[in-house]
Amino acid sequence: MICLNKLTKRYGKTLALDGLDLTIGEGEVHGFVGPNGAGKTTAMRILATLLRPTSGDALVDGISVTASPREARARVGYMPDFFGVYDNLKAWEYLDFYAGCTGMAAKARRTRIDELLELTALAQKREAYVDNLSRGMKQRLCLARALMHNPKLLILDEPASGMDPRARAEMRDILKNVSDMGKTVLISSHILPELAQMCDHMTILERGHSVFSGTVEALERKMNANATLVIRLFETVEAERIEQMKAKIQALYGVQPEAAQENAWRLEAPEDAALDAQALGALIALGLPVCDFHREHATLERVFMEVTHDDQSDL
Amino acid sequence: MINPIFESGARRRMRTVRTPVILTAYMAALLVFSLCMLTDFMGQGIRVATMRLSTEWTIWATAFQFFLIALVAPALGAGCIAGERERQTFDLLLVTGVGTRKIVLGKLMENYLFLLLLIFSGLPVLMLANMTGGYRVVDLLVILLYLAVIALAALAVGMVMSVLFRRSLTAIIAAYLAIFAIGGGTWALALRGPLAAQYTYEFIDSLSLMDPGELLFSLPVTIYLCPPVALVMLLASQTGILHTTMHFTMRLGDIYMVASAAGFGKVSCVSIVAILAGALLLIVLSMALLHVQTDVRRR
Repeated sequence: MICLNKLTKRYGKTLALDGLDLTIGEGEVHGFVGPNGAGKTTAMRILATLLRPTSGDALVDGISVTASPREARARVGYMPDFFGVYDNLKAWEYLDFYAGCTGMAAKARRTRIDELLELTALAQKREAYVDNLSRGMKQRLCLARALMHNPKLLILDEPASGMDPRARAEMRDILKNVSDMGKTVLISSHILPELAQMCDHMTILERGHSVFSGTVEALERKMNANATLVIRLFETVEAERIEQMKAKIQALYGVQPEAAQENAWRLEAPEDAALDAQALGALIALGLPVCDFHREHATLERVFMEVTHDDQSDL
Repeated sequence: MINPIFESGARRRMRTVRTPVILTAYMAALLVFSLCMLTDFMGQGIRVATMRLSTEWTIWATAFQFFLIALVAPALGAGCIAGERERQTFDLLLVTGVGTRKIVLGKLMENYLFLLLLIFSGLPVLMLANMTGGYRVVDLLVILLYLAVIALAALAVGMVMSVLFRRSLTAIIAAYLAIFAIGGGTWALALRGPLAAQYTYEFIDSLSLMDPGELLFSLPVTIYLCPPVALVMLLASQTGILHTTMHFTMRLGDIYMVASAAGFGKVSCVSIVAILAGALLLIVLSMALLHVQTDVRRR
């Protein structure tokens, strides 16, 4: 559905996109993650035919956005991160206006507007003025606008930005319905766990190129590959017993635990429940007053911080 | 299908409080002129003297409308595209595929119809002069036509600035500067241009023997593009009472004599057509500039 081929964009001396290669299949819900300035919005704006790339190309449904922007636009629904609304227009008039801009016949508009207001849970706000709507409602209305011409690809730049948790949950439900319609959805967000919930694929961008692109499962496997084992004792014990504990852990996991805090140790080891049970039993058999023995899984944020801090990470 | 940008813009404009306020203020200002006209011939009946007074008040009312239009139209035009950018609605328009031509035409139509509403709302005031015999109906309609052309031209200047500058305020300032430059520049070029050199004593002496059509071509081109001069010539051709004003205060000198020989009416007609052509060119320029700015195709 989307194919970015050595996509490069330069703003003066600043390199926003650096030869980005990416393929997104039809029907995917694909997350775009990256720190500020990574190039997410630039890539999205190029796909939405709002920006000309410096070099490379972007294909939407096999159509080049630079060679045939008009045809590409017909297949894309775009929702920017920041957008304005017109004052003195009702919600249905707002959608009617954009429907007219897409060339939709007047007869078809009314039905389509009602459908979209229903889909975005704004049917009761049909006659409300747009500038009086809440932030979340405006976002949903903008989503309805993006869906007006029934595009195959939806590009959403931070669709839940500035929304409260309830509004974000409502937006998630709406996007689930949208993806169930078979549309390809490209979403960017800073709220990683939420993105992981919504998306089946994810791309992490940093400094204009991709540092990870794959399924969310692959990313979760990376997160769980090495989970940190934390051992904490209730009270200080003799040094000799501590050495016995370390030797036991070394024998079982092949790695020595490192002191983290007073009476606490940590070690990085692949997750293995059976081994963990054996280790706990061994520590108790040594008579150690174990008060905490658990695995700390890497959070998505932590993986993101590690990956984007060092863009040479092998994922 | 109606241009959706025009339809939506017109709908929104008529819903704002600003629109009736502007209309009311405009009509209130014109009311001053109508009151002056009425008080002048109240109790005196319709005589030559009162006809002359109502003609003069109509000239002042027309000049007032001209300056109002010259003040309002560039600002309206300058807010068209720059305003959309500032409001962050411009990208949403572009992605619909509506096209830059429709955007420019829609914005233009929306603002131009509002200006026409202002101009034609002044018709009842101008018609008072007809009631008192000071002005013919057809002449009043020609005045309105002239104002409509000036409004389009000033709007077009604002539109070009709106495309060139991202901020409304910058575009408005640039539009006003351009209006002054066009008004003053065309006049200055007419006085100092190459054609002025041909106005020798022998040439001026032979004016009465020359064909009016030939005389029209001997006038500097820029004089036809100078809106204030066109207005004065139009009013002079209709009323005959501005000749002295033109001759001495506008310092047109030889140009005045050539225009007089050609016929002020003909000169003002050519001027209206020339200004209209200039407005249409500026509109096309706006479309072209906007297209170049937003075209993502590789060059």
